[in-house]
Amino acid sequence: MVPRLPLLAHLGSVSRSRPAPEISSTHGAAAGTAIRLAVRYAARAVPGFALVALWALASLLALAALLALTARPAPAAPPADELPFETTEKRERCDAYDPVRLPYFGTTHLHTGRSFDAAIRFVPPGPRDAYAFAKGDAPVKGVDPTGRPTREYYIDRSLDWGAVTDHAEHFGEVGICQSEDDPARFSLDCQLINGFYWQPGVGLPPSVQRSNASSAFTILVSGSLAPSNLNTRMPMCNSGEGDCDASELRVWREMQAAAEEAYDRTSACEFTSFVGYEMSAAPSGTNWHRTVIFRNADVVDRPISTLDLADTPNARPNLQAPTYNRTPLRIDLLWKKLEEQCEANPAKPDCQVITIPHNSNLGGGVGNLVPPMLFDPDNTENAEFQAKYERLVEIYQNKGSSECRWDPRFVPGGVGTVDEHCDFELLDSTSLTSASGVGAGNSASSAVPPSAFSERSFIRNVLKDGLDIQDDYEGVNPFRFGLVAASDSHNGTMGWHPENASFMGHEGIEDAVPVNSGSNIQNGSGGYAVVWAEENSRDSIFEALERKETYGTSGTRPTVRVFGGWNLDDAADGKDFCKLPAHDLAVHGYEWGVPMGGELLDARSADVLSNGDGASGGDTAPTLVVAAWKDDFIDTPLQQLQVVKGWREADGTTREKVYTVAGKNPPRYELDPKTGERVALPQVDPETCSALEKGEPRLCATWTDPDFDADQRAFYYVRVLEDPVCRWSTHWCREHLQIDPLSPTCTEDLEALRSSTEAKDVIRGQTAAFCCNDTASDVYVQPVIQERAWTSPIWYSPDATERGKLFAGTGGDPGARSRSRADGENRNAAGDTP
Amino acid sequence: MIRSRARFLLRSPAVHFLLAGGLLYLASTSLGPGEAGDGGEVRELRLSTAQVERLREDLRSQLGRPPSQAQLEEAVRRRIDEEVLLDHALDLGLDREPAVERRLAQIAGFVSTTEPAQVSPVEAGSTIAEGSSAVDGSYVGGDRASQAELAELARQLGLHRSDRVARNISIDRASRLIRAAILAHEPTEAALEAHLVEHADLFRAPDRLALEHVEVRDDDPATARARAEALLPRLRAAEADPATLGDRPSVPSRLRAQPERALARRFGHSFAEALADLPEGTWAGPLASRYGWHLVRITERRPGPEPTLEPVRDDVRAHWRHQHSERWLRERLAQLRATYRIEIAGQQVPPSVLAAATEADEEVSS
Repeated sequence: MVPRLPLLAHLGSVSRSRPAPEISSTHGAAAGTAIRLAVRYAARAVPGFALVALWALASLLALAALLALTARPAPAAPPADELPFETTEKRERCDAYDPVRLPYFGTTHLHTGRSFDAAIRFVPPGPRDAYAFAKGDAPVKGVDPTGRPTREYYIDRSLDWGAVTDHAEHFGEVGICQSEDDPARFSLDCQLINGFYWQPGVGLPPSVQRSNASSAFTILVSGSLAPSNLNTRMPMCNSGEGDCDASELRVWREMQAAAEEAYDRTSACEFTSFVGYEMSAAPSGTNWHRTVIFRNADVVDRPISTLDLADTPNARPNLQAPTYNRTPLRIDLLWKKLEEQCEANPAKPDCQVITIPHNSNLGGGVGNLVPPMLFDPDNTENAEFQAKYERLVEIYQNKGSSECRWDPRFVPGGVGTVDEHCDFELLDSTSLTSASGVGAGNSASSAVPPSAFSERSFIRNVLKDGLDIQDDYEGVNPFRFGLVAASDSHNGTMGWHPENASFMGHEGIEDAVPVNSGSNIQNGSGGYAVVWAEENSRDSIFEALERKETYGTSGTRPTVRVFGGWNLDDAADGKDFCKLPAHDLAVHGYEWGVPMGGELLDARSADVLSNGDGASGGDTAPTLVVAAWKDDFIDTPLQQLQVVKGWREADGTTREKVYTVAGKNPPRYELDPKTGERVALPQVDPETCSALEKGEPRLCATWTDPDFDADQRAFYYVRVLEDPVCRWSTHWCREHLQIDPLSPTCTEDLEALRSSTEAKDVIRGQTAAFCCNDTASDVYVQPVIQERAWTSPIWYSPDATERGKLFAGTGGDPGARSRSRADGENRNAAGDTP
Repeated sequence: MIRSRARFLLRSPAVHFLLAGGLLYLASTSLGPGEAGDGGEVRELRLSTAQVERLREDLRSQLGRPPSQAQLEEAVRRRIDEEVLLDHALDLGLDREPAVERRLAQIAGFVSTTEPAQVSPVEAGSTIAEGSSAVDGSYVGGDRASQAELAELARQLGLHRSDRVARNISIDRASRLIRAAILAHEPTEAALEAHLVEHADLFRAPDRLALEHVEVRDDDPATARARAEALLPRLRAAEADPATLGDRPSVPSRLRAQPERALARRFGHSFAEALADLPEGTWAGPLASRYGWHLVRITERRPGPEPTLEPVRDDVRAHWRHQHSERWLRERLAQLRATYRIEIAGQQVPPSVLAAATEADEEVSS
């Protein structure tokens, strides 16, 4: 068994990877390994420069051997002790194993009817149904606006991997309320959870029903999620009316069993499930939610939920209501308790876990009372915990984009940015309490100015701040996030993100007609978390998540590859990387650089990563190789590749710049010279929804940073923009309601319906209420969007002293761990040199 | 072929039940005056224009938009079947079941202000304040006689047909009872085996393809395609080692057997889809991938292994039971409908028309 290392005991590193044997990329593996071993042996006796020469020679030999062969048969998985990832479970290796990795599309965030907020909205499917849906085995049921399960949905193409992450809070209550025989299922608590007070079409007037549902949601939330302290379960648990402990265990075991049943342990590797849940703390409505994903079946006995994060546990849960106090919930307790009950728990030798925050766009904090979701850690210890467990962040999902915000309705429109492409899928709310949902009562109905948002609400700003605040934590950057996207759907529709009229909303009855309110129509259809992994198995994917070799998409499935390194122009035998066959691009990329999620060492001492020309590295700028292929199932061409750079100036201020490195960046807005108003320019043919200017099936760029300063910390992430297409809401309004958001007469048509004498027209007009909204209206809806992908950043840091810590969690290539060890040796040698 | 089909039909439980049902039907009609409904006389079933419009309105509120003609027709069919099943339930006395009785007794209290007093607690010899509990709508159990009387009162008012809850329970019981004829019958091992063979595709793992390919790339796709086409005869004539032809491939040139999905991950979706049409063993193409043009030789087309019963037994059993019970329910409904003169929105409709859609479904599903 692999020994568990206590936190940070591993050479001051936050890496949890065990040392693994060397894996060479493709051909000549044996020869390459032999040469490298010889080099390493020599390194003990020979000082630095000779080592560089030897390494370069070895690499060139390996490369020559590689290029000598044109045809390459696909290799099979190596024996267990030579795998590039640690194996923590019993299973067959995959037939499709590939050492240079393939992209696997999945999700780290999905709810079913076991979540209390889905239960109150009559969502039928449970975790088993969600997995069956994702695998394409069966449809799931959906509810119509009357709450009846009359709808049925099928996934368009099956998903590779995923986790059901229901809200752990109220697991016990939901288990009781949905059981068939527990006497407490008729309790008042269960009437709230089972939507007893909200059954449109059969009872009270709709407005009363809604108000009741609102109250039910608020009661459920404020008991255990919203305030910061003395949180408690529902009264039936505390009074003994229901045995919530036993029920919580039952539900948690159901989650585990469902994941196990869905997991394909054969060599076909059709689907990989992960056991997971969502921790749903929301102090004062500020979203602090995290999904929690376990590496394998060795998981905590009980989920660590919001109740475990109270600074002061509630000693008298029946007498003392949850309260706000000066100390907000302690998010660090999430990681500390996971450490204690999972990773450092001797009873659970294989337990490993990561946490993934989401919707920072709704987590901006409340004045002095509650800090934003991604706040400065209290101390270095907490920063280390966050860096260790919080490897990834969701950049986009149903409830909007969290990348950045630029709002065309305002001048200036940005929250710490001037990037016009940050106008994508914006939500007009600053916190959970005003987002779409029963508790909101559709309150998100008017423009929220950029000034209302905390800069920390957006990931790009958080990444920038991380470069700065690491100085406060002995060099540990708590915000070194890799990027994924998700849906966060509460309908059990795992891995389905239709950008068309089949979109079913994401919260059962709440948005069964998803265009009838401002907050509903602003919801997006969600996207994927993509990992570059050797195979579709838990160990391989989990390590990809840990090393951040991930990207997120807004719902399509483009293939995006990124490598960063020094002197990459020369690396591929003098050839442009973009001219290489895709497979060779990856082989060279791993050989000479780091993939997305990795880290670039200071050019002035990182000569081992260069092609031997490292002596001139001092002023060399890093090069990024970015290659992207369109999703040829949806078949939207790619418009452009962008590199988003963030950096920290010497005075501590942080900056950002967006470079278009391939494709075209046509103007999207212009200012009307007469009125001074911003006008959105047409981008698609209003009849066909196809782009006015067609992009490319493939884009590639080898880009060297023209503004590089070797003394500035920086990160680079890639944003891939597809050609503009009609948003799901545009299709919905056209197909189901015959109202065309792209028609110049849209508003008049809608008005005509509303003032019609025919009842059915009036109803259609009400249903289509927000169809004509666009960039110029009060509630912001983009009738046309550009689907996109965001890759994990590659970081650069000039500070040799902190590199030991910063290097953690990189190692993005097949030989990563061994290479990082080799680098470590050299780095230490270099560091020792005065 | 025909013989095996016939043999299959003879083995099919649905046919058995059909035959049994037919015999019972003959018996019941020849042996004196049968029960109402199954008897000789033709019953009337009318769905007024107003009722059709109400169905349309219901659908609208469910869908959030006006229903299509097909959706409306389906709802009408379902409504007719509900009526038929309800009659059937009442013929069989299923409305005397405790759940329906309780419901009827409960609502009788709502409807009639005088009747509860008639069955006063004293009269009924009960210590529970029956009347008040009936009035507040929470009548549970209590005295048998009074419950039966209240239920009878509700029946006289026609509530057993019109009350949504009582009606739904009765319809549900009737359709369960019909399905139970199949569900009570545990499929034999042989039946499961036969079902698995018949529906092998449902339970089979996807086909797998092993292939080798030669890739040609060029900045100009037409040139690449032409170069690829020129290579095809050479490959077919085995003139040269494939490894020496074409450009260095973007994807390993020989791939072991894997499902279409895995190939789509490497080459792109349209390429993987096009593989289905290629012959096995000979060089073919060129096919476009996300990288360029490819000449492809499928070296092996391995169908998913014939599924064996053991690993999928529960699924097969569930599928068998579902399919046969649904089929029997449809058959039985058709028999029952045939005893009606059905009029929809003022127009008489032959019962066979109403079955059209469901029989089409049957074709598709089997």
